[in-house]
Amino acid sequence: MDAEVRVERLSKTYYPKQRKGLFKSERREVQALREVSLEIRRGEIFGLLGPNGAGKTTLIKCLTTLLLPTSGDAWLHGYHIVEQENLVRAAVGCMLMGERGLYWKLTGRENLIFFGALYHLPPKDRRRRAEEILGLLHLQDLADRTVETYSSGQKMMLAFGKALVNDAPVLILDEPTNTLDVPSARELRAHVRELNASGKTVVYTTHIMAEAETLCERVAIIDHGQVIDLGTVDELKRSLQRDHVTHIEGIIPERASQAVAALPQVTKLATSVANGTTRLTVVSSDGRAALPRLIEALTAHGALIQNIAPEEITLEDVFVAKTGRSLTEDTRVR
Amino acid sequence: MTAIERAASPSRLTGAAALFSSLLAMARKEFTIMTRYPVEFVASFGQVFALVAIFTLAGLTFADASGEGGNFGGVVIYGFILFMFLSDTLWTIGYNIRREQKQGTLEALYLSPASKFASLVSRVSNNLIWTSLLSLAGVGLMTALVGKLPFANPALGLYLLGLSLSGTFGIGFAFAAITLRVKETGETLANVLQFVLLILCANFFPFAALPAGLRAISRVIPLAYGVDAFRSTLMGYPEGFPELASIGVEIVIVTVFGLLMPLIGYWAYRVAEDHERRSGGLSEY
Repeated sequence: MDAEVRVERLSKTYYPKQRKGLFKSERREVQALREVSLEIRRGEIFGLLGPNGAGKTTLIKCLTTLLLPTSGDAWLHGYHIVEQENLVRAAVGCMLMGERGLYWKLTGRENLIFFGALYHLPPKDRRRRAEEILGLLHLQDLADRTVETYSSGQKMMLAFGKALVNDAPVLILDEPTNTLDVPSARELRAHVRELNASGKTVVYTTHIMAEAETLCERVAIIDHGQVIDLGTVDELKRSLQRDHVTHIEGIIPERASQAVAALPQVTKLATSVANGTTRLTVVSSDGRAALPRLIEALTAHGALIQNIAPEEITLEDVFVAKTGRSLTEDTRVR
Repeated sequence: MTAIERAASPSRLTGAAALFSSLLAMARKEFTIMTRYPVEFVASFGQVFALVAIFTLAGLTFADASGEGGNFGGVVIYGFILFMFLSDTLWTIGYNIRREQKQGTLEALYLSPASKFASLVSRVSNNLIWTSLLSLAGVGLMTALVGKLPFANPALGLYLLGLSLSGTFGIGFAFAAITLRVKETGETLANVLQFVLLILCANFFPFAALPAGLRAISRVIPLAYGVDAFRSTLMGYPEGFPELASIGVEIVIVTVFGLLMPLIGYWAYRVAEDHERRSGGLSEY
């Protein structure tokens, strides 16, 4: 199958300023992408998975010409992202920045018509296209209201509609279901599937594992600017088959977590805390046989276990196994 | 091939048609947004009358005292007209780029294949039309206050206005470049520079009113020659006008300024844009 997006050893380094006093600042080196290489096949839904700060948005911004890479090459729909940037822009429909990419003082219809004009659609076609999109996303009733009066979810849907204006062969959607309620998120994913079925290639970034698992054919796990693993969801899960994942919830002191991590059967351990409850995701090498030892290590170090659940492998488990961290961790360099 | 596929073909993405289509769409968008702030519309109209009245009444007081009020109306109103056009062009582009950067729509524009040049020019196209109307209103008010104004050489006056504007477009592009780089500081810089230029280009008074030291600085600012040549030409070159050089020299300076500055300014903008795309600053707000 042809590659619709090809990325070869793409790197991006930033040098942000860090204040050291009233008049002093110094520049640090931040490697947002480190020699990323991947291919996205024509007609697939490809997921980019990673926590905040992993490099997903930087990769997307390079692919959509918003950022110039430090080194490496990439082609989108056969066009080079630096040398043929206008052709790349015409070949991609992008939802980035969510609702911030819209003119709030224009109506929904005016926004779509305006962006249609920027893609050089003739006036009749841009109006027709705007009507099609408003109909598709059930936004007709809001079409003549200024965007500032929309709810956050309605703005996100319109931003998604904006990405469809030029009917591009490649759709790049950066966390499109952020701020959407559950039914709207489901509706948006259904549209993504329909668009994919009509032949569009979709690049979809998310940090919601279940979303990637149900939507994407192949997934790249990105962390610290590198592709940690890439494959179909099943392939990634199979790669963990010899490991066993157990979720443990409770009031778990740090020393108990450390005791679990020190067990010889435990290969990876990720910890997250929500509402006062600690959640451990333990990847162990000898399956359920390790359970008694886990419980023993926790209780011996003062842990109060509320729930313990050996589970089927999920993409989240794959992520933990590959990176040693939970997806909810923020890895942005501050 | 569908209309949308045709629109994305390489031949449709560049050239005059693409530039014009982008310019028209962006100008229309700016106009629509402008109409969503009706109070601002009315206020800016009232502001013109207030400004013209302040300068005229203050000036007339001193002119009467010295007995030299003959060309005063022309100096003020033609200087004022040029000031309004220049002020629009000089700062509006940068302000507008910054506003879009803060809103988040600047990146949305950069995601499309629309012309960047059109994006810059469109930010003032509506203002220029609006300013033309305000200028006519200003002329009407001044005529009511001081009587009939001198109005000689309209064709040459228009030529000088056009080239001065073209030159200030160039400075506007360069200022937009600075704004992209320094963000919020650009607006403060504009506020300061606006008043410095207002004095050094002597928009509301003759250059003779400037102290010799400041007049020397005026002589190295091409824009000052634009102001001097424009109002002297429309006033029919009364004695002492133009003040900075002969009209022939001033026309040459204004022409070179009008032709070169847009190229330099646009080049500066593209360099700044390139820098921001490397540093990731395009989306900073």
